[in-house]
Amino acid sequence: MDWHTILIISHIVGTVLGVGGATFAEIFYLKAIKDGEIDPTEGSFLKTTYFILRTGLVLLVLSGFSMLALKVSQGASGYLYNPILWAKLTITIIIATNALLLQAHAIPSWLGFSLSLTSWYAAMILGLWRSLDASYVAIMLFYIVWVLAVGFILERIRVWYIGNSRHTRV
Amino acid sequence: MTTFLIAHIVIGLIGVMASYAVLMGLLKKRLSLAFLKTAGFAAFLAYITSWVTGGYYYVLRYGPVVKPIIKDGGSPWAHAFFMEAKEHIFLFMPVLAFVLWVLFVAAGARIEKDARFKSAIIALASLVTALGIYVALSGVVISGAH
Amino acid sequence: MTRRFLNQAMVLWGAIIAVLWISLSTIFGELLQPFKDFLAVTFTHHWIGKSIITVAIVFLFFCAAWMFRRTDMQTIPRGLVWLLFWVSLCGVIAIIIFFALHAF
Repeated sequence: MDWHTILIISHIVGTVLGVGGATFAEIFYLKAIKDGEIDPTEGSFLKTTYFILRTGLVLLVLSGFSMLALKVSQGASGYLYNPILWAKLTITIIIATNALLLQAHAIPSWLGFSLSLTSWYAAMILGLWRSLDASYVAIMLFYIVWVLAVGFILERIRVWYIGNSRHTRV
Repeated sequence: MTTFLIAHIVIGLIGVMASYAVLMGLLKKRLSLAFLKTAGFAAFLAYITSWVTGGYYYVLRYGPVVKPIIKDGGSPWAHAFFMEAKEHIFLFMPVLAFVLWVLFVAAGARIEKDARFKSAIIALASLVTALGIYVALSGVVISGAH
Repeated sequence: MTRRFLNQAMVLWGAIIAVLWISLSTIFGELLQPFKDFLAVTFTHHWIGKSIITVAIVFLFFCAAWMFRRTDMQTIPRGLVWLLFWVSLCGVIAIIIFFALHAF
């Protein structure tokens, strides 16, 4: 197995852990706050999920930059100016910064969770969509719109789910 | 020579991730001093290693071979701005990482108790992390121009 | 034997001076060719010269911090940490602006 294959596998595993982690972080959080508080067991599940998410991010970043280094060493450095690559790099920085802001409680939770979920899926889609031909600005504008849309959808789901469970309990 | 470049990139990135871990560790409600000391030292060690490997590549390969190609190519600003700024801004990082590690070792108890002192440490850790990200992205721009 | 603690303020001052050296030597190295040439001739490359002097400053101040260890736990002013932060940030911004003007 050559280095390129090893790095591709690592990159995919990182993406899987990150996308899966972000998805289940949202699901577990929703289930945890259903009764208005996060008990120790729920907290433990969330902590484990965030750990998996961060492991995915580390794997993604290390393998991603290693692949770029490999391309440079093989003389294929033209790819480094690809707008889709730069969109992925920007979104990866947003994922990392968002995690810090959420940890510091310096971002509204609806925006933080939306940024996390949308960013991971966006990074995955940009990595898989080989035939995409779009500028950096177009991709980022689309991304911003989706962050807001997903934020709205998640908020509606939260209101419905929590309101529904309280209604059922009564 | 490519080995030095790849080592510079990968180890430098490990340093940036260690700095990020330090920052994340500082933002937790309950600090783990052992974690901060370990991550802080890892960041410092990684930056020193990246400094040496990068410097070796810079002096022996980039300067005589790569720089003229970039300067005569379609993106001369990749060297004139990005590389010139990067090679000097990078020097800040091991210094700041060293200070953070020393403070975790020597003043760790105070960081836990004094919120305002902790804020100053968080600002320093944020700066190191931000510089690391800037330097890494600059590296992508420079490599792409070659 | 009384326990002695590393002089933290010395370490911070060493870092502040090192950061000032990096910023000033970078900008004046580009403005004053003889200074850049001196570094290149003395250390084989101007960047190596800046690196070695940076390490030397931090190392010397660390040695001083060890030699002048304190018997008290110390409460270094947090202003000193903030000073290091602001000097570093201003140095980075100055370098970026300088090379942006130089290149574009």
